[in-house]
Amino acid sequence: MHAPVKIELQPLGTAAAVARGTQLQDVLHRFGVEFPCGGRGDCGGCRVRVLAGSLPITEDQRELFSEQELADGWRLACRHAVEDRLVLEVAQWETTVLVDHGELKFAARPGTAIVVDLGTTTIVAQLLDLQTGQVLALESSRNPQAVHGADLMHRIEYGLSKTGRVELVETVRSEVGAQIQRMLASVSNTDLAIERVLLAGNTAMHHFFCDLDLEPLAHAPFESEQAGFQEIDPADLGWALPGDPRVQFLPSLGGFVGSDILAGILATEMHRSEGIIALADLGTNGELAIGNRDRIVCASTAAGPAFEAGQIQMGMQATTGAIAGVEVAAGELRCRVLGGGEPRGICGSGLVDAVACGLETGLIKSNGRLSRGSISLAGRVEITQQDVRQLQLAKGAVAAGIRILLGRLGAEASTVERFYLAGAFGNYVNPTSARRIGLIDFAAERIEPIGNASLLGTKLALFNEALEGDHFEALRNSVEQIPLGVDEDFQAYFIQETSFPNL
Amino acid sequence: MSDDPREKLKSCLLNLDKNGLLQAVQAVVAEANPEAAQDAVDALAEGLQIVGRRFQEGEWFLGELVYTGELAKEAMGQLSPLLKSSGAESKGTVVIGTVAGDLHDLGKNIFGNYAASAGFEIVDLGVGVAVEDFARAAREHQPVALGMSCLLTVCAGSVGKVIEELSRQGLREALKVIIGGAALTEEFAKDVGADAFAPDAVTGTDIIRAWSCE
Ligand code: B1M
Repeated sequence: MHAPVKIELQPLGTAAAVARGTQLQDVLHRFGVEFPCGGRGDCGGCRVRVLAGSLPITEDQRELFSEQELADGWRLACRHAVEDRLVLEVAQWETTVLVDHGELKFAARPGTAIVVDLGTTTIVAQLLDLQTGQVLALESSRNPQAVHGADLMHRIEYGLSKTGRVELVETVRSEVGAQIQRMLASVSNTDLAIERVLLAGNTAMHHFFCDLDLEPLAHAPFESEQAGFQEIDPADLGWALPGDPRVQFLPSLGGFVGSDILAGILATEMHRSEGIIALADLGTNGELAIGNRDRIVCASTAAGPAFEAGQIQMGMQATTGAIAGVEVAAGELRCRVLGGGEPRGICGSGLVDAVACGLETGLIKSNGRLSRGSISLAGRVEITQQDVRQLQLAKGAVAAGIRILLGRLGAEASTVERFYLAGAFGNYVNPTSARRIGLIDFAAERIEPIGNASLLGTKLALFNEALEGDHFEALRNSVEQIPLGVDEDFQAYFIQETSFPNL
Repeated sequence: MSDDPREKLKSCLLNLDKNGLLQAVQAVVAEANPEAAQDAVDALAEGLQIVGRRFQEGEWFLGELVYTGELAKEAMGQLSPLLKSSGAESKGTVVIGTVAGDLHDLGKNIFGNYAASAGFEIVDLGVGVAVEDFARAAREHQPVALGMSCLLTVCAGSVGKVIEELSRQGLREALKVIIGGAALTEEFAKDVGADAFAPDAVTGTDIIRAWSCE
């Protein structure tokens, strides 16, 4: 029954053999496809087109697709299991931009280039055709620096010694180099010339990759003079690439707020919007930017590891076996387990859901107190008092940061037109639950997951600058960074926001 | 509810009842009896013990911890002139600050409030305090204890540097050093030669109170 079946993904031509009955979501997830609504069938972000084989139409898909689209073979990947051999076209790999307002305008020119989102946890790279805007190859791997600490501060500390710095710099450079080699090896065209490699990431990753002095990032005010645009000779990186590309790292916005957020601003078009747009990338650091074409403010707020399920008793990554969603049905808690099997732990989005349900059912009071020792979710998975406390700290720091930024703009939460949630947690978290716990006080319909905004914006920077004069350096200078550590109101807001809303 | 003013103070504190607490304090102040004032202070201390326990056991969180700390500090502010007039000694001065490079100040502030409500004079040097500034304050204020807070692991090195500097300037013997904050541990305190590590503000206050009774 579980005989493997072959599945092929276009346009990258990736192939895999998977056990019959495997959820398509689990397969695609491994190849870097994102599921913006967390696989609930709400958003259409995981659209695929069946080129060979078949996926039976489920009723709920009729709401999202027109008859014509269904006839053309469009389906939601998150709604299906693999039953037989399949060849699919992955929409995310086709379109260059996922933002809803407007298609990508770009000056088509011959050539290829590479964009990299250098994350603390994950590194994602894409090989792009500058003529068509298409993704020719894609790589995603875990940042191997993590052995020196999942936490950036631990890595920075390690990098303060000479040997530590050399090791961190080389680890990250060779990983990106290896990703590029794998992408080149996967395309059939052997005489590609790469024109440019453009990277974005937070300020620490920027400093590691560019091999800059880490000392300014090790203490207040966390401002480095070298956080600007950097260009590096590929020879210094130990890379031998066809076409002798320019390798460039986009500039940080200040403090820990990196070029990933600068790219995110480009991707959300905040800098052109009349209405106020907000962007949040929530990991151990919550990176925030809010504003419109007149003014943009940004900040980095320390959240701690709760959103990534760190320091959570049964916390785990969003992989098979993780409880990724919880809802109340007929007075009972019902859990959604990734991969559908036995629950092994809980990931960040599951934790937010579980706490939201706890608040709804009275199992958790608004000060975070559990009405009994712990809350059992499913199988042996439970959440403890301490887990809830960790989440309160994380959500308090983010909510307080958002309040400060809105205050600086003289804006109210209700006037924010759109709230984009970037990154892995932002992709999976249920907006209604995020609101229930008071993490983001915006109407659920205005909250929108945007996926990897950093990579998206880096592509825009690559394609757009010549065309629109949208130069990131000018944009960078217009964005104001607010240091929360010295803000008078932060502390009071933080304390208030560690509580849950009393509805 | 009991009419005993001590019980009233305690229960108002634990019920987060600011008006009730301040009324009770006013009643004590109106009596102008230093002994009754001392009783009230003891009652507050007992209340804070319970706050500490509720926090450690997870029943209460930051909101309650901060609020009770502020309430107790305010009550103490009104009671202390009475205590002083009776010639009761202050428990001494405690210098506190967050170490160089680190701007986290919540834990330090909470500790400062608790220590103040236990009868200590607090000199708060603020955040990002340089090694030399800790030493200067130790010289100027002749504190019974010096407290350092640190939440960033990269800044933990400063804690040891301050202690070395105190020794170098011959100030170490005259005072006790207490440290706290998420980047530090009991073991770290031993390594750098601090006298105590406080996992939370209430325990920290208990520790310096015990020192002042030695
Ligand atoms: C002297 O005697 C004593 C006795 C007892 C003492 C004592 C002294 N000091 C403390 N105690 C004890 O009593 C208190 C309770 O009873 C306790 O105090 P604590 O201070 O431990 O606890 C407080 C009451 C509540 N806890 C807190 O206030 C800290 C909560 C978290 C979320 C946190 C916050 C709120 C903030 N942060 Co920061 N922050 C984090 C924290 C993550 C977390 N989940 O814990 C942490 C500490 N931060 C971190 C980081 C990296 C940073 N933060 C930064 C900034 C901030 C904010 C400004 C956003 C804000 C601070 C606001 C302020 N004015 O204090 C930055 C640095 C700023 C700076 N220069 O210091 C920045 C560098 C990141 C950035 N995004 O810019 C991390 C440190 C990691 C590490 N390994 O070093 C962190 C663990 C989060 C994380 N993992 O990312 C006890 O320790």
